[in-house]
Amino acid sequence: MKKTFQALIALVTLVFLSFPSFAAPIELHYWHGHTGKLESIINEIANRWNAKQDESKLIPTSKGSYEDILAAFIAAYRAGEHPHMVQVYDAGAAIMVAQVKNGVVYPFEDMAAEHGVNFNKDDYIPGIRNFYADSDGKMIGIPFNSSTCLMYANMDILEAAGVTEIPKTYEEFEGIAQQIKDAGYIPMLQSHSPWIWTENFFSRHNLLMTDGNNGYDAVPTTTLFADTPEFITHWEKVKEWKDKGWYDYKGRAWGDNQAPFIAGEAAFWLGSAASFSGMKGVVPNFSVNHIPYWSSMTGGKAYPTFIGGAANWILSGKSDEEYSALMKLAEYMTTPEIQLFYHNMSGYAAVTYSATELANAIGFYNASPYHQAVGEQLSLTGSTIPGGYRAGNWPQIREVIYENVHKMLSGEISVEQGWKNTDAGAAKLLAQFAKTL
Amino acid sequence: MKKVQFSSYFTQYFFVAPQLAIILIFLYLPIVQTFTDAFTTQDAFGFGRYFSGFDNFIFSMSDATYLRAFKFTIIFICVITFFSCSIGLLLAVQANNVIHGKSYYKTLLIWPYAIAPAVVGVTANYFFSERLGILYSFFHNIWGFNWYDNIYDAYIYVFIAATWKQISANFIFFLAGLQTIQKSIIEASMIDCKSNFRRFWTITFPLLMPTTFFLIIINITYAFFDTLGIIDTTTIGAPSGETKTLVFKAYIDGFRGLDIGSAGAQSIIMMLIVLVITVFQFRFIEGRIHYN
Amino acid sequence: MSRTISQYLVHIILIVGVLLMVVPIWIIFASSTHDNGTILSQGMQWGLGDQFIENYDRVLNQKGGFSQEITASSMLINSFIMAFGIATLTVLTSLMSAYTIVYFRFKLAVPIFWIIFLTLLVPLELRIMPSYQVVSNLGLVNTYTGLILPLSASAIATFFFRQFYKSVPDELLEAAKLDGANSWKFFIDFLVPLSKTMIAAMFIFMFVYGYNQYLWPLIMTTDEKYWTVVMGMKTIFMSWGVERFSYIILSMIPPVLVVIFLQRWFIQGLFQTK
Repeated sequence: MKKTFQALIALVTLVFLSFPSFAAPIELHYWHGHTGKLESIINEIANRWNAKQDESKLIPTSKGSYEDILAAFIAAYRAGEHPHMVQVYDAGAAIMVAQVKNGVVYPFEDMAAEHGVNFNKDDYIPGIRNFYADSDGKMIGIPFNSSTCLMYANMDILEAAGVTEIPKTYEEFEGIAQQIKDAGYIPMLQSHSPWIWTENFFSRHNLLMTDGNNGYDAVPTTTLFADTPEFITHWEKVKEWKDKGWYDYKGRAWGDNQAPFIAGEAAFWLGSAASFSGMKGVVPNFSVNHIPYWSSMTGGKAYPTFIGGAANWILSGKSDEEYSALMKLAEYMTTPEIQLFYHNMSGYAAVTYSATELANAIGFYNASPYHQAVGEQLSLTGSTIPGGYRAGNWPQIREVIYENVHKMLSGEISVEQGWKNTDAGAAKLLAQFAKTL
Repeated sequence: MKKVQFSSYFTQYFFVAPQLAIILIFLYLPIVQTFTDAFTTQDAFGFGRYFSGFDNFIFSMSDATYLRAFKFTIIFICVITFFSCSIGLLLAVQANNVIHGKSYYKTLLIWPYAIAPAVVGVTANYFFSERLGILYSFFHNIWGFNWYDNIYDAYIYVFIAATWKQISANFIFFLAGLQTIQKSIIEASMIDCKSNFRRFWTITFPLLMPTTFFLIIINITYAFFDTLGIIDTTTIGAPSGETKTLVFKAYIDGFRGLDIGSAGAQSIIMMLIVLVITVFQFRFIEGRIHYN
Repeated sequence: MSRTISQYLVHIILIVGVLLMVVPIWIIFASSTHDNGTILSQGMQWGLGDQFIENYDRVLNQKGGFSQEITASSMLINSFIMAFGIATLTVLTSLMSAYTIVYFRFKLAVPIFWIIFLTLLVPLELRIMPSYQVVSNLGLVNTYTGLILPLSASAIATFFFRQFYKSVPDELLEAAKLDGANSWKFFIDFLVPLSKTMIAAMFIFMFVYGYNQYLWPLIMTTDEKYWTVVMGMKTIFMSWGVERFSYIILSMIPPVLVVIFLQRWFIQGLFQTK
């Protein structure tokens, strides 16, 4: 027994003797929230950058999901262990922009002014640029993986149901839904109620989602869900579709709603542009289309959707040499070549005009028409609302939306009551966030 | 307390020092931080801090979701503890009594214990998914089971996943407990008491009380805390927040939603709840256990 | 009831129990030997397929991470080190502190027990940010020590050994004292051998607990060298299809081996000789 004890103690000591690894000169640490295929695309970009120059070395690290990475990086920041650049998603934009005044985030435009060489603000597509900018339009985050919600259509099912044209509006969808149902398929599915049929409903129809001009002019105190008749009408329609079997609700999980589409049981699925890379080669014959809108609500005009996905944010507390290297990296990541590579591989939008031009010049969209929808939809013009929303505690507000959407769709409460409850829940969370500003 | 004890000033501290050191540094320091957070308003990065009294507590507890999570957690703890303990005990007693194939049964019943809660969740997900799920279609055919819509069906889903995960753990500890009961006691009792059933409840079970008491606490903390990984990979609180436990809610608010103050307040409320439960157990249950 | 009939009943109950525990994992295993298309179109499988070698080879040798040096095997090693460290350290320190609490007469025994016991009330998930700060202040980010120590601060084992020591007959200590044993000798020569079954059970418990950690390694490690299997499941291998089943099965092997190996200790019936 004594021997076992000694062996155990020796082993424990051994484990304790491992020390942290030492650091190499100008390493640029980049934490991102991509996994699987998307992660390997990021790694490929890093390898290309590292092979191209030897001033700096980019070290990307996947930190799990978007939610995990935000918490991981904040914990690291509070302990002074933060990376140079971090990827933060749309719902976290308010938190990041608010941190400029505390000196956590180094605004991209400031870094560009100090260290930029080829920086050209006007090259960034405004809809994308403004989502991660402050209320004066100053770029805070670097647009990178920009997605939006899109409509995927299974062409084989449409053919089987005798549908010749993909609907552009919800009115057109209503015209063909019964036909698809009669052919034995689910007409429509949707994967993210807070994002697609809430946030993007507002942008797609040029409506304000919160007071304070979506939070761009003043700290928002309430969401405008129940106060927006168009929005209530939309959800009453959704409920009606569900009862008629035109829309099927599979709970709140993204994958559960996507699965029937992948299995070839549903005609349309509303999802993300980034879903493309995972479905290519798995679903036989699908097309990628703009998200529909109610033509009766916009007077027939199509407005852009909000940008989804995430941006890269530069963090403070690093040296001038590091920022100079970072700026070169940021410029590299937005070169047309890299943007096009990323666009092609991932399905995310190209964030600059020059990348889109390059794509057109080489006939990219003719060869791969899937990729066109995302850029087009984000580049639509004519909106009078800001290109984003600045509302704190948004991840929890999304939780409130999920819960109330479920209650509305299961018929437990009316649509109007559901959104009234959501507004009340959101107002509490907004007030809680406002206290910390 | 033991009737006979040592008293050696140096040795007693030497034995307790390593664990105390680890616990003070890696547990109490963070807990102190949690307490400060609970009474502070601050943003996720720790800026704009100011003392805000009980604001965070009021904010958390006035939330309808919180009360729902409270109710669910209580039901969840009772159901999991009862079923996983009973099944674990039943199997352990049988495995201890069986004459042939003893070691095979033990091995087959023990090893599923090794599976991570998150993995159990992911696995349960496959069994309960509308598309692929064997259990989903089985229950659906009997009473129209649909956890996407029905609260009670969602309860059943997480109860099964969480209980299944814990059966092996209870089995292991009950078995270890049974093994330590001296054969001679059991053999002696066989003469006095012929009925297996009565012998178990009058002789064996009382001797298992220290283990049972330990397991009840283990199961409560399991149901309270460790099921986070299961909820996060199964219903995520579906249908509409009814299957959120208190820990899951604090995790969503604090880790996902970055509301540190509210999460701190919720953590403290949880500590108090578990504290009350355990003190209650120590006073009313442990007093009745005969250790010798 | 005759002995034979009751034995049949025992077997029936045990077989039902075994099926309950084994069938779900069998289905995962069976599914892991099919190709992706079969799973997608027909769902999970009861019978074995013919893709066993292909799937498992891919999972074990596919390189992941940015350095392209991370494989499932290297993550398995990290997980093992972390779990082993946590289990050893916790069992050792708890065995010792429970000894103090039960066998020493001093005023602080009860307060110390409560100080240790109260830690049951705060799981790591709820104090993850402050814990990270402590670990980083000590310079332990990206080390095995940093992975192991905070998770070794567990009261469960102490509580468990306390329960057990209290059930050990007082006569044992009296006899040992008559033999002239001091507190060290009693601990090492009498109590520890007596606790073998309990040590095995607790080692399994803590090993599995450590092995299955997800959030802490994710927050703690930024260096891919330290990635563990369970966090890998949610990051690099997430987008896989059928390989995910193979990965689940592979990731279970180390803790399952520990469980199977250590459960032999239960069978030896250590108490008959005492």
